[in-house]
Amino acid sequence: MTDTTTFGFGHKIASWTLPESQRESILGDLEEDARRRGDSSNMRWWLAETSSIVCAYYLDSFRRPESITAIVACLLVCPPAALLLIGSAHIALSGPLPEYIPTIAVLTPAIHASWLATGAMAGFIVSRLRTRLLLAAIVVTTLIVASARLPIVETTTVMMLTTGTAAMVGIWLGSVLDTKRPQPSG
Amino acid sequence: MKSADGLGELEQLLLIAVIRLRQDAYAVSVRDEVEKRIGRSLSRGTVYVTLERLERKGYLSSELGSPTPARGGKAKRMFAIRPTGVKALQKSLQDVSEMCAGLSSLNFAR
Repeated sequence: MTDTTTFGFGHKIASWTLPESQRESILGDLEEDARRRGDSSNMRWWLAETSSIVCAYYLDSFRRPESITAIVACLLVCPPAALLLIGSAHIALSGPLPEYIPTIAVLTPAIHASWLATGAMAGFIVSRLRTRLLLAAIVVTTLIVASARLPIVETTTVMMLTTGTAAMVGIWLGSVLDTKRPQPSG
Repeated sequence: MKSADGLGELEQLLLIAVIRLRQDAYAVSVRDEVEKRIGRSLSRGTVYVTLERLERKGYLSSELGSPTPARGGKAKRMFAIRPTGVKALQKSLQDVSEMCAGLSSLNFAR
């Protein structure tokens, strides 16, 4: 792999994982620093620096009230997903893994998995609790909107679509199970 | 512990760095300024998050500067302190100063 390719790959990983609103200026800062240090083809440096930024944003996002609401909603609807989310944050921030691994190897899949599970479970609950449909719909909507606040590694649209799609699958699954239930005769 | 409108130590440091750098305050230069002055190496993420938080609190404003070749044609996010930021910093430093007043063990004179 040539230096240029390594630089391009490091740059690509950084652009995938950085918060969208700040992406251009942060990438510019990274490029400037990398060139100044003469280290622009050092993949480990790119991963370490990107991880440091993503971890900091992730930790900071937990301070916001919307994030606390999201985690509480997640905990109520699907406790294992909430534990996965909190556990992955703990692992990433307490640093038992090499510094350049956490966000990419732990946080991103964990965030996706936890919101997929939460969305699906919320959708399933909606389809089962017909008498509380409005309440359940509010829970799902809250989850979808709230999920957009936590995952700083992805665009908000992608995460909302992920949670929303999972919720639809949960609703469909609940409906399928419902039709298989023996119906009272007469 | 800090009050709702108070500043943390890191926030104080970054606000002072932004004031010192005047027209050239962006994440890289702010981080370098802190390291140069007090020898404290801040992680890149900490600097971004703190600058963004100060902007959310209304103490800093930011705008994109012109792109430069050294940055692969990408713009810098330039920061400037707002009057509310100056006031908050003055209050915060004054509080520390008043707390330290009369404590001989905290005599900073060299």
